[in-house]
Amino acid sequence: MNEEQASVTLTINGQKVTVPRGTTVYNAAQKIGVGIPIFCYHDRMPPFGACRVCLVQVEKMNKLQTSCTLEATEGMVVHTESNLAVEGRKGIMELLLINHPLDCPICDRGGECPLQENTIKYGPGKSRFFEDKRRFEKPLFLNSVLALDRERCIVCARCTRFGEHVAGDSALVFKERGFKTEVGTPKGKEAESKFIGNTIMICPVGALTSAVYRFRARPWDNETTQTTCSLCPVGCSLLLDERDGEIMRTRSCENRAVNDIWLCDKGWFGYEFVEHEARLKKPLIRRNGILEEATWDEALSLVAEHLKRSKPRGAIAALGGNALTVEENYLFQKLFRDVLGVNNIDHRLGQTILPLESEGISAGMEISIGECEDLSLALFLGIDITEEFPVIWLRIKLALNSGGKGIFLGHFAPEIDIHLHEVHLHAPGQELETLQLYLDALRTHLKAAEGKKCAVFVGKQYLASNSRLQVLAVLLQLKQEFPHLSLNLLEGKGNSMGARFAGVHPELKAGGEQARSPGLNAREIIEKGCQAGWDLLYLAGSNPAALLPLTWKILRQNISFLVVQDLFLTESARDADVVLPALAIFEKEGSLINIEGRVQKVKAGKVLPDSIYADGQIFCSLAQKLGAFLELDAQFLFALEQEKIFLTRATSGMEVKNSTPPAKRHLQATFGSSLFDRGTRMQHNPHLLELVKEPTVRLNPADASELKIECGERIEVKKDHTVILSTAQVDPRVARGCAVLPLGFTEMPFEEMNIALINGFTIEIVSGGIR
Amino acid sequence: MDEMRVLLAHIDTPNQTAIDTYIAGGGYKTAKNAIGKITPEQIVTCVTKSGLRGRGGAGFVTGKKWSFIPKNSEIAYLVCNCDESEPGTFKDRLLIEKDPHLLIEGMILASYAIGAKKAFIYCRGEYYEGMATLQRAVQEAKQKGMLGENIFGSSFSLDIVVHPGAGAYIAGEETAQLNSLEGFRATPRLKPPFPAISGLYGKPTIINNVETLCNVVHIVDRGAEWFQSIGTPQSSGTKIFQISGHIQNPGCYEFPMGISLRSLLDAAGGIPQGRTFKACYPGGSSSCILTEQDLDIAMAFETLEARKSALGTASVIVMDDSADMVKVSHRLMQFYQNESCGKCTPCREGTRWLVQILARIEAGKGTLYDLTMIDQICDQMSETSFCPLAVGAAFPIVSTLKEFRAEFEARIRCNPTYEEEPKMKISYPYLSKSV
Repeated sequence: MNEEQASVTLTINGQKVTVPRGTTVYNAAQKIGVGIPIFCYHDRMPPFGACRVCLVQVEKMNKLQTSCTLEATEGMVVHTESNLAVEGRKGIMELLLINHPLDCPICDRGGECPLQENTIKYGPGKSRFFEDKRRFEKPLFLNSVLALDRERCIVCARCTRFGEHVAGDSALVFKERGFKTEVGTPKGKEAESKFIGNTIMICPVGALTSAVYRFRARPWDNETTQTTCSLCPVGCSLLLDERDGEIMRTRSCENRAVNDIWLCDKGWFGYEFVEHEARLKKPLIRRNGILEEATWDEALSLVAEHLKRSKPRGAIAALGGNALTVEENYLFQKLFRDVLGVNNIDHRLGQTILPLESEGISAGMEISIGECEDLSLALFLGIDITEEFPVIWLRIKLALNSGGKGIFLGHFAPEIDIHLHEVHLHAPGQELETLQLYLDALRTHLKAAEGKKCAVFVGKQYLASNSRLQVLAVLLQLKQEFPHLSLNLLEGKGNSMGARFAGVHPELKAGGEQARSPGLNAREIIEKGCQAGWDLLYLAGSNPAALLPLTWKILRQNISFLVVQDLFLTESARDADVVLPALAIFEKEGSLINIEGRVQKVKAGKVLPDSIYADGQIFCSLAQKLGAFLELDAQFLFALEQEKIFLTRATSGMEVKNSTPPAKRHLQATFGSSLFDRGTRMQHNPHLLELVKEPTVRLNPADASELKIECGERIEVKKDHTVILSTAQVDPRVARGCAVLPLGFTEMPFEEMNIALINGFTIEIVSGGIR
Repeated sequence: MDEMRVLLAHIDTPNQTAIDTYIAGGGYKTAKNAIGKITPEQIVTCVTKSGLRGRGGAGFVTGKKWSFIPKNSEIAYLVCNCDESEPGTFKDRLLIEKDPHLLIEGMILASYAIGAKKAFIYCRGEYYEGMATLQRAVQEAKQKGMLGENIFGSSFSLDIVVHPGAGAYIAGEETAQLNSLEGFRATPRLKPPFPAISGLYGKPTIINNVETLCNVVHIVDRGAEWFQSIGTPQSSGTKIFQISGHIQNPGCYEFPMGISLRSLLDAAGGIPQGRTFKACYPGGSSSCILTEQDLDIAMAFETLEARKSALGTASVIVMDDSADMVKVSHRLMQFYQNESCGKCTPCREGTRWLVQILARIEAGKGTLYDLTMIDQICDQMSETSFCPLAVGAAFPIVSTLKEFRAEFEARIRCNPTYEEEPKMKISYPYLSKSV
């Protein structure tokens, strides 16, 4: 295509503008700053043309045209301010307003409402409507976080189209027709989505509002701070809105490289814990068996004394770090490595725990999250993407919308499987076999996509399996064959990438350097604790008592002194000797590293509570009491100045072997995470907590009928001597011979079955307990 | 004037719905002689030459529509629009209930012409009998080898699916019908792309009315010249006129295009005794009203267009001097209000507002100011709506108001404050009553 054909020149209000062919008149007008109001059009979704407010007059066309749907053509002459266009627009504004309640003074959207703003700019200024307005019972809670005021709705369909085009969950649909049209959910059930908060943002009126933020503040009273979400390794850009020292809400902040303009619902509504009344406000010291409030000096002195006392024997271990900033993690490991001389420090409790030599390649991405939009092939290897890396799915969905292929291989189908072209299920233990069987088909796909971007996203089902090294070897070989294939290993939690980089890892020091004398990893710390015990165990935002309640009973007895540093009096903190309150991520400054290795800043978005210190400050104070001086060294800080940190990815110890699939007589277990689990912070987000689904063990219907187990039946899950009571869910989306064990629920601590969370072990399921 | 029955020739034949009766009367002969014997292009050319215009209301030249299907498209679909929901329209119902095989034969020819291997009949949900008849007929045709693989020993295969609608006027709009067929809400799609390029499931699709497809059989059988010789130069062929309302013998009457309105009314027995003709909507309710002065108008696409009305589906809704035009307008607008899909603002909000105003006028509480407003709202609706539904809703009201303004004004004068501009009534959504 030559230059002339690739672009067109049109005239808008007498001004010439050249735009690429295929650009709409609306976007052409945007380019030269000509204002046109819009409601239904949203630049992240295909044009719809329903609200009709973006009308313009085009010469040689006999009717007014909607600029959001009209493609600009060569020589087109457009008028946005001609009498005809202005009158047409006013007419539409009048029609939009006749049934809109105009309750702006009490509407959450007031002050940041596109309808309000466009009414002022383009509206008729006077209404001729004297009839009765449409009325609905209000509000309607579509789920625990989303409220709908139907009479405010202007039926722009942004929210329903979001579910269709962006999230792919079709959580909101239209009901009825004509003037009775209203937004609802399929079958009138609670809206089921992980991304529903986005619909509030794109609603051009106050019809959809946040049940958490509702009636709490006016937008002009809020002070906004830009920060980064720390709840999962995607690291979406966030805006924190604070009013009178309290966090009122979080919003998404546009970041084309990571989250675009979207967030998941944890990002939208997962901030209530910060202001929760159960937050620890003062240090606690156990006196006569009871935890009592103490001063910081008392608490820190006591901890320092015990650290000093335990130092010579070296029976000290520390867990935690995912909820801390990179800088704090650095200080954390420095305190233990340099000041106390122990390497028993790990951030991975509740994640896959593998020694370096069994890792092959570590977590990370070769493409940026933003690039996922351009993929022509996305191969998901055992990853439940919406549960673990939700916003990455939104970017990949865009690629699938424009013709990209999606293929899944794994133990159980992800909820977004209807958007994928192929889904192949197999039992745990058959990862390598399945991948090898699929290789030829994959090669064909990759050949067809030559010169385009292709990516493989490997998740927990493959990475935390016994065939990890072989699978990675196959993938590396494939990558050599097809250089346009990128290899992305998605595993981790919170700021786990940052914790690893900072050296909260028994084998790795800060910056990724291997420690000369490796310490024990999280699994070994727990196991050794149960046997030999620890003189001192230090938990910074880690909660083993909730993850491993059965083991904890034994472990706790063997710990002479337990220090817990957290936001809340967690299960572990209840058993502690000293509890140190810490600041939440929205209350401190520092950096996070996301799954791509991108370094992003967090900033305090509110007035800091008195008497609570950041984790980093606590480590420094402790060091001081021990006669040492902790600081961030310049080289480390310099490394954090980069946009992205490329972690050293060793590629050793991998070879392609032919697999020998295990006997398929027994049920093989795999782990499934949920975005909405009952972790410590989730428990203190009352609205979000209601979205948590009751955990179940999922089974293939054929296995269930073989075991004579019905859906909803109470079951006992057994592995060796561990028995955990649960509920069975019969689900055809699970592979034959596979049982999916939920993670993140204290009442069903399946973490007990394999502390390192390696899947592919045999379990027994029997019917049991009361239904 | 006598009827000229071409499409309706066999509707009185006993047991015409049975395939054997249909074949005995010469049925499927045309398809048999055409499929595999002449090329699809020849059929397209023949239909184009005949000047056949779509019978669903818009009157687009059928052959031209067919020619928009991209050459060499691997998959194409034919959809027969049998969602006959326009008030006053009931011709398709007669055809599918009385002579379903004529439609199937027409669909075979049309599918062959456009290269469709699968065709759908989107049937109005309320046509239970018609749907059952069609389903039976499709089944019979399959058993007899008229449908299925390698029809008449040719390489051409066709499957027909009868799909029930769920009762929505808007599903008659072609792109809304495609959405409904795909299982989505029946709301119109953005055009372009036009269905002939990207229609059902994103594939090239032709949507034709039942009567259009039935005509195809006779055109292919008797030739384009024969068809052209009937009717007017721009509206060739015969047309099934449906006459309803204040008329002696309401029903379907087939005449050549261009018959005068007066002859048509006479054929249907005229206005009931003691009454006089007042007005009629000539092409379903979405056309501009005709009055006594128009009785000699020729019922054809071009003549009614010139009169700023439309032939539409040729459904003549007759009103005698007992008709209350305010009530008529109100009732019609209620129909459009209830049938608006709600997608675009002008239609969704405009129709409801008009119903509210017309109800007020009918109740004797209107003002003169309302009449100007009706005109302005209708203008806004027809100028800015997404699809033709709102245009069709505005036509009858604007024209009725124009022709019978005196009647509206007389009703308005019942209101003692009819000359005053209404004042804003503040309504609080949180109180049960407005203040």
